[in-house]
Amino acid sequence: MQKQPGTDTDLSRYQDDVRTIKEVLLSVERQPLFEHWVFYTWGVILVVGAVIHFMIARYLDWIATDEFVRLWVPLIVFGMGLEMTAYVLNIRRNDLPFWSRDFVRIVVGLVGSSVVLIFLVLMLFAAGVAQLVPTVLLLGLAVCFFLFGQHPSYAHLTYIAFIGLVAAVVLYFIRPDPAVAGLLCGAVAGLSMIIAGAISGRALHTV
Amino acid sequence: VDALYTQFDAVFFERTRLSMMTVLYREDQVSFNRMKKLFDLSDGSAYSHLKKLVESDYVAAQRRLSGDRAETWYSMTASGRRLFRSYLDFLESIAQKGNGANNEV
Repeated sequence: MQKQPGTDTDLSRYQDDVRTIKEVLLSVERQPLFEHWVFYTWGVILVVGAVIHFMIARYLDWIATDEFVRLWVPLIVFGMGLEMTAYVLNIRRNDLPFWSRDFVRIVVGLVGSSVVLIFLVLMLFAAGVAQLVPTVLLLGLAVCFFLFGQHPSYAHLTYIAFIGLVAAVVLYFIRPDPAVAGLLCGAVAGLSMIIAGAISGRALHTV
Repeated sequence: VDALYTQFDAVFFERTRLSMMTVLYREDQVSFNRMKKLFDLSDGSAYSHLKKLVESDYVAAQRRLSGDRAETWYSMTASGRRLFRSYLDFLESIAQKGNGANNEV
């Protein structure tokens, strides 16, 4: 079909097409990657972990490696299992492919950031400045939020990242007792996750 | 604007099919059920639109097993992607011509 687009009708048709393309792209880009409750579960896991960490630091004589292996590894594995469940439920509900372009990009980014974070923590232990670990973990959380915030469905995480960033700076300057620093780190991280979940859930219901 | 013309066929110009092409341009693959949900279409209507796109070689269909059921997934062909890209370029050129005309006034 050959068309001369000089008429007003044609121009209005092209404007309609631009509008259609824009609307479709926006609706597809705002598709969440996970069920939003996963933020709440991470929030609870981090707060509970931080409280247990505090109790262990105060009343038990565990070394840092024991605490990491016996407390944090099981909690993180449990959280990742819930996260995968939230992802699978979301793709089933919305008939999405498992390896979507957005998912691959986010996973690669998060895995890369996590490896960097783990190396930083190991280097702090090796350098004998383990008291800085909570600060670095909060900075790592902020980086992950900044990264995740690049996804159109989670743009609000860019702003929530500042909670972790500010808390990290405060921790660095006030240098509290290590047990308290760990508790504050977990509480701030958990609170950030809960706020992220609340905003994600609200956005889902208003779109 | 008068000098511009299009060679885009009627298959592509229909609103629902343009929407389907847009989703396929953004995402590598989209299932039949998702297409239906995204545009609030019946089975028959979604199938009919997608069939036209497949017959024109803009879109490829692939049957896949998902658990205990088979589902059709759609992806854009190289010619479909070229066509969509050239339509975007065309729209952009119209917008630029329009801006040029406004500036002259």
